[in-house]
Amino acid sequence: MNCALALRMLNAYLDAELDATTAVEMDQHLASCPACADAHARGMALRSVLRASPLHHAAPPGLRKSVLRNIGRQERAESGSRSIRWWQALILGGATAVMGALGGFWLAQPGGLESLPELAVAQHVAALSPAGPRIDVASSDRHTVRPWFQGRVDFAPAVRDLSAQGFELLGARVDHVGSRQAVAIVYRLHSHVIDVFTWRAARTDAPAAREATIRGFNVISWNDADMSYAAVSDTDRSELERFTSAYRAP
Amino acid sequence: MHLDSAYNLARWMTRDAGLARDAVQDGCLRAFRAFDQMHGPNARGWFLAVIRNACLDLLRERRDRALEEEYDDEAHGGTEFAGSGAASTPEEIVARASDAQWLRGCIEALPREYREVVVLRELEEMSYKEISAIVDIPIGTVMSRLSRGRELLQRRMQVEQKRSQR
Repeated sequence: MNCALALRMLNAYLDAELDATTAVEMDQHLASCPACADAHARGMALRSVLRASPLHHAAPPGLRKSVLRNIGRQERAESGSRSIRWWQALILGGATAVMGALGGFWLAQPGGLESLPELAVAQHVAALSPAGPRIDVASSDRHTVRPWFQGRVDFAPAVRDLSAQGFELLGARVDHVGSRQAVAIVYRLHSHVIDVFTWRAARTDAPAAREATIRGFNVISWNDADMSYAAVSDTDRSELERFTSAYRAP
Repeated sequence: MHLDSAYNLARWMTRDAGLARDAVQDGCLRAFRAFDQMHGPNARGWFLAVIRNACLDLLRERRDRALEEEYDDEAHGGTEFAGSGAASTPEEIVARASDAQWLRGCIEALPREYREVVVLRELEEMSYKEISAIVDIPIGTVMSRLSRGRELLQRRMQVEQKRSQR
């Protein structure tokens, strides 16, 4: 190898991008040519200075949040039918970190901009994780779950045993729907998680039962005298209807 | 999310914290919309390519590109580096090389096409192949730009040190 070629290859050599044969030729040339060895030493010195210095700009605090807020806004603008996009954002983000950020992001939204079913879906999504839904009290026994709420919320949500209908009770958690405190009772049908959100009804809540598909999740919401409910799941609508009528049955 | 990598690249490309933020915002939205196009295992490379394009568009938009062309060795004698007062001993020169602020100034003074490959290689530690995909140039060009970029950087650092020794 001559010096002209060696100098042309020097950077690839420094970056370990040369094939093995050429790298060996470079080794030999550098061992026998002081000028090229000098150039190599300078290259190494530059590299070590660059690597040793704090040159990497870290993303400023708050940037992640505002990026996610932007994407959320964008997605709302593009209508709710793009549920897959949501998961794409999650994959892009590295699921856990984004999950955490999303919880905060949605809670930070003023309640008036989104309907209550949309807010319930947001909480449903925020509580999902690869390890399973977030559950504060895990039990398939409704006599364990119901008393757990005492002192945690100021109402007594209905916890029903629906195992005969195929819905397994996983547990419950304290959650929010918009700015309202809510509880989520968590059931499972096969691989599908069903959250039933319950919160104290406000006079402005829509009175009639309604069904919706938001971001690919089915939502059935209804009210009774003083409570509002929303069942959210990615299971079939007919299965969610079956669940809801079983849950609402006296 | 490769947000730190994205911001780092954007910050070095735009040389401005506010522009870098905007570029990351734009790029993330684009990446989000174009997610279907993403294929292959290198999600980070794909994402950085999107961020880089957002930077270029933003720079073009702000007419910074014309300005940037002037930003070469001759036009910038290094007077913009604050704090490069008189230093006389070799120890101080060594200390200066580890002064990140000073070093940043040297890298920022590189023309963009050299700066971006140096940043991708030295700070993001990407392979020639990955850089080639992000910057959309052949691998041979990655090699020659890195070579030239490092040469320019070394020369600038030398000039700066001599200047401060006088």
